[in-house]
Amino acid sequence: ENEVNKLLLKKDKINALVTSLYNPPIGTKSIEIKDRNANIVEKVLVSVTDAEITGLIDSLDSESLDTLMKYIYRFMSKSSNCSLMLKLHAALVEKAGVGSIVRVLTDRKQV
Amino acid sequence: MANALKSYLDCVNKTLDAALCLRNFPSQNVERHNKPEVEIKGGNKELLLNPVIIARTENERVFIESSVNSVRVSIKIKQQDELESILCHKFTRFLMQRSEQFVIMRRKAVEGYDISFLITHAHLEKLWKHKLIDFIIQFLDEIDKEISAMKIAVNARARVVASEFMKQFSA
Repeated sequence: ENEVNKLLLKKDKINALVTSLYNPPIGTKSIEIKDRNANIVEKVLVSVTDAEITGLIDSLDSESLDTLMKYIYRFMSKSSNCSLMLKLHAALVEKAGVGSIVRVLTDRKQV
Repeated sequence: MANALKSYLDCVNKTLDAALCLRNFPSQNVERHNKPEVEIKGGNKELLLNPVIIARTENERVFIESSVNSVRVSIKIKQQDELESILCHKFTRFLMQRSEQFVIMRRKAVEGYDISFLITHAHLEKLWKHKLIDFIIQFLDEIDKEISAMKIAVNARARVVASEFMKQFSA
């Protein structure tokens, strides 16, 4: 978490996103850990501007893309920053294809 | 504004595309029965996929629940004031009473939403999947316009009626 804050301060958004998406709490049943992780990811995503979205998405690897997709749907269900989520969703689908949505729907281990 | 609507509809489009992969699956619990698994209360967890919500704002969202042989799509329509909620309620009631004509519509909306569609594998065998998705997107697009048009019509009529009524007191 501290690493993400440091990276954000340095305005290095790509690495901030990569760090926050790394090792998501899929296995744990504890709600608090999942919430805290979600808050961190959300902080990073909110600071991203429209123009940076494509660059950001291009730099992520496939596992992180899937994790990001899961987070997008999680944030949409809470109705936070919906327009940003929709833009991210469109860019992600362009990169990763419909398969990433299918993986969100079918994966038992939710973020 | 139009751009946000378009990205919302695109998102719904792609998600429906992913969720509408259905196949025939006879009921596991009852012999010789074939039920839409998404409709069964307390149904088998292994047959259900993760439900997903796509929200444009707090008041406008689409809830998609899918399973191996059926998908339930519930829509919450934007209602900004009392008049719009009454109009929306009456309009959706009108549609839902004629849900047989729509084939895929559900007679009762899921709780918390205004209208629901239930799509089963049988429907997908008869209808084209991309056309079905286009229909739902078109529905989402036009229902907002319909409700605004109805609201304007109601206000216009009310104004005319009120002015006619007041004339008898003025002249």
